[in-house]
Amino acid sequence: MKRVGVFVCHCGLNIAGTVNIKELIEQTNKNPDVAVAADHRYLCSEPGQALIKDSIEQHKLDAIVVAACSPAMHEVTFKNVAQSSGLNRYQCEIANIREQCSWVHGDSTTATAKAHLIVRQAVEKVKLNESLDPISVPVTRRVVVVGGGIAGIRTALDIADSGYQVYLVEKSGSIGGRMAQLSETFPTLDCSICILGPLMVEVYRHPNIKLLRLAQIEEVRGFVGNFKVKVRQEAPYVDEKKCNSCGECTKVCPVEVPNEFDSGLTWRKAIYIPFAQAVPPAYVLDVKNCLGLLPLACGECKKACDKLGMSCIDLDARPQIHELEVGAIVLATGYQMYDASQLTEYGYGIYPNVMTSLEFERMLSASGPTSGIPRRPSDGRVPRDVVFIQCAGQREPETALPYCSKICCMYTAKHAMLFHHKVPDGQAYVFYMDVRAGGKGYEEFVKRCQEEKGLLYLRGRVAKVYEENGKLIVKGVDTLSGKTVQIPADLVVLAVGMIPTLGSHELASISKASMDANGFFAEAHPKLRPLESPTAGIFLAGAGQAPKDIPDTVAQASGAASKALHLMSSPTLEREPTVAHVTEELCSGCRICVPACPYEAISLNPKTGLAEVSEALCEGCGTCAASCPSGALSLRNMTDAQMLAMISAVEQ
Amino acid sequence: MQSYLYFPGCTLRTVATDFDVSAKACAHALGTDLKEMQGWLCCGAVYSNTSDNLMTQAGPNRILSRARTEGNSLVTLCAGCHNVLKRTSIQAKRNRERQEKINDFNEETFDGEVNVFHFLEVLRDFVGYDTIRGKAKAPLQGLPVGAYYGCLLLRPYREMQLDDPHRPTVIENLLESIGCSPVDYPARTECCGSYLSVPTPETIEQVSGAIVQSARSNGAKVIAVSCPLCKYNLELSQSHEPKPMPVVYFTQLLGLALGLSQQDVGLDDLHYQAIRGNLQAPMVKEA
Amino acid sequence: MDLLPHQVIRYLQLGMDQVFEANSSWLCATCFSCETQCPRGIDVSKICEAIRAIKLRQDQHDLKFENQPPQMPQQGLVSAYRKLSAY
Repeated sequence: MKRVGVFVCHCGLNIAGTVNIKELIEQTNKNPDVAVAADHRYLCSEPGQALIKDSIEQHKLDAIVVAACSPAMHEVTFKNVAQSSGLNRYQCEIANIREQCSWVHGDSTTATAKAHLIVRQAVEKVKLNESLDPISVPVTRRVVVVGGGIAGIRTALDIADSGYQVYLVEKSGSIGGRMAQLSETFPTLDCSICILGPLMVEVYRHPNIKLLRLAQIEEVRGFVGNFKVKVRQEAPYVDEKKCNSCGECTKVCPVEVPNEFDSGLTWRKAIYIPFAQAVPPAYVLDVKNCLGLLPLACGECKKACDKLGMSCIDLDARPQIHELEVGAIVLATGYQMYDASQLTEYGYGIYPNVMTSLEFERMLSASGPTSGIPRRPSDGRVPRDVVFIQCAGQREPETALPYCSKICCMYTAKHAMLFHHKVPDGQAYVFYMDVRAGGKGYEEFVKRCQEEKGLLYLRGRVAKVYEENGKLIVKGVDTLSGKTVQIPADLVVLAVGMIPTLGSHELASISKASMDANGFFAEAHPKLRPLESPTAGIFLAGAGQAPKDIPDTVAQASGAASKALHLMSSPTLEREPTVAHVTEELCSGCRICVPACPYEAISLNPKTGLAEVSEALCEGCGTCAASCPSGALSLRNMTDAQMLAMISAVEQ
Repeated sequence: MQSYLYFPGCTLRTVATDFDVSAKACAHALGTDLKEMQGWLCCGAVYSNTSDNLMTQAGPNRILSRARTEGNSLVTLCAGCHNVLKRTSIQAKRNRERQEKINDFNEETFDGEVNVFHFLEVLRDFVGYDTIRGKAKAPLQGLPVGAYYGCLLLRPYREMQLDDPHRPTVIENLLESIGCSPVDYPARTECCGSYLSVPTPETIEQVSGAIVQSARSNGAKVIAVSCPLCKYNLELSQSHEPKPMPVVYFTQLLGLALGLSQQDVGLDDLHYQAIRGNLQAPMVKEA
Repeated sequence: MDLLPHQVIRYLQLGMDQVFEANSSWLCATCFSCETQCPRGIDVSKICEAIRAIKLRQDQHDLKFENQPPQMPQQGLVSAYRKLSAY
């Protein structure tokens, strides 16, 4: 007969405030299976843990039940106590009488009665628990980082510098992401590509980083420490080692499409270099917009390149599939801008002189469509009156995005100031609701902008933008003075929200990383674990997890790298042994369990014809056990017998 | 022949008979029929918000419960009636507890089973612009008309759901299919002042006047509306104007384009001549 | 308008009774532009109706029917009376 000890935690008043601990102990002691029942104010504390250790020794306990908070909080703590007292760690069960009892019920009598039942259940379970040993699996000491923006670049460099192999998978033809598109970064007004460029080159030159451009994840299998990632890499049709960016191919290409790098403000050819400082420093063929390769419709680019004796272009290239074996995956896919044409009151897409913030940013850039001079898209004139609308389509739970994108107040201040520097007799108006400038040096920066001559901050929203006599009439309000405002503007810039990058939904599905309600990758805990996905082995960095600025992105990226490095710090990883197993005598080889398993951990052994569980792949979800018609499959320490015993315990 | 159950409302029976007459004539010309429902009564003109005084809900609910006995759709023309009846129907489904009290009082049950449509929706979704274009024997070539939506057709957006509340196009699309050149002007979704013409007619001069001015300065020569009160207010704001902008119902323009006569669509000479005078090409067929 | 729509809401939030004396709620035409535009979906016209109802239930209202425009459609008359004098 197993000697079970029950330890009840007061958790200060969290439990003791609702559950009558004294009565609970009394009731528990009546249970013949319980050798000892004790309580403590804070069992997770040192003295609390010591109480359990001493009791185990004193009463020669074989198993313990800790009635306290959720196992998500301290299961590991108490399992460690059991282990250090000489018990097998799986002879410890947690009875959650906080989140599932004292925190959700108000009446003491019923709460105490329920707590008693919860404890009884746990006792019944632990009575039948087997002693188990963790399963040891090897760790593949390589990492795949998805996304080549500043987040992916920082993560890749940190891991590579520590001596491990990194695959950097980037969807487009060059790394650099959004930061490469920026003109200057707040609050220092550093030239963005100047500070990013050296990092991009470092990535390209790093012996431990393999850069896969035009590549996307197609499939993720396996589990933490042992992922098998299938990457599909589109053919660039240009050999990046040979190409010297001479640009002769682009001159002869007949196709013109909107240039994504310039947010659609300029055109590019089908064969193009994403931007001047692209890494890899090579051209790429956009096969979707090319006139056709099978059969060959044009081929002028190849002719031009061959004529020079370069022969960098191979129009017969094919996509490649890479099968990568890695231990950890870091998702750093970044963001895109919200579709401003949804905000019909502002007229984006209808009036050419209404632009998004990213388009304006490109225009401010020296490498942009107008060489850094702000101009009206309609007629090319330099605008005198520019209206900036903050919170465009954001903080609007009823009509657009409910959240705040964190960076817009800062970049709008930057835009207004840079506009004024370039157009000294111009006037910038900024419609704001609040100014959010929480980062280091941010408040000082915004104040500097607000105090500039030629910048007017108006507190209020804009109701409508319409065109009249070549001007954009902006109807808004300044709530501080209580007056409605009408401004005839030359240009209107909308600070639209950041949304997850196109394709992140599919990536979340493929990698089984969770997404939150707004489509960003979900973190394991919003406060304490902001860079891990709830799925073990997958880490998060950058705006793909939530809107953020560059310093926070870089910090998070280094953090994610450190998490990956921690994962790889030992050659093996220990996995929970509470996995499924097959009682061979009961298995008829019906195979119902095989497709039921979401992790593909069950297969039919070809020799025996019976089901076989790969313990390393099994996540212990129990789906197979539920599906098995003969009861051959069961979960260790969550058997049918245990569950029935737990149910009976409640029925009494 | 497709027949639509129709609710005219009291204004269309008295002061705005031209709206009613022209709509019915259009329906007929398009091979459909607007069949007046039995036992209709005044809808109350506005949707009341007081939740502790349900008397205001009695009338509209009674109308809908009677319509239910004849079908499960109801077509309206007047924007005010449309707003009241559509919102009543939606709330009847959403707020069951309140609806029970209303049904109890009315001794006629309505539970939200009637779908309320505006005639513009019928023309867009059931008849179709292609059909209309095909049947437009006398298209109003190039008539620069400003469609005026007002408030109640489009808002509150979550309930009315007729078209985009900031940049609607349903009336312009209809007008284009009959040959007109609709004019875009910023004030086409602004309020005409509504019932404020009763206590403060000077407000109307200001707000409706701004709408007419906006239409005029963008090149409109005629304004097309779907509400008798909007028509009234827009005309009231021009009462001192020597050359006022004519305001007509969209069904009158549609009727003319379908080959109906001036009398058929209830237009007086002043308005009829204004339309004719602003066509880019003479009307091909005159009835 | 004495108070702009957002000020009407603010006065109510702060319990400032001047909102009941302001002419703002009596100038509301129930056009719903507020509710359509408001990022939080607040229906200020509904709030104005409540303010009017409170005043009307205290037998205090602002409606004058002196110089009524001729041949007004009954839609307008009924709306006016219901919005500005009924409670």
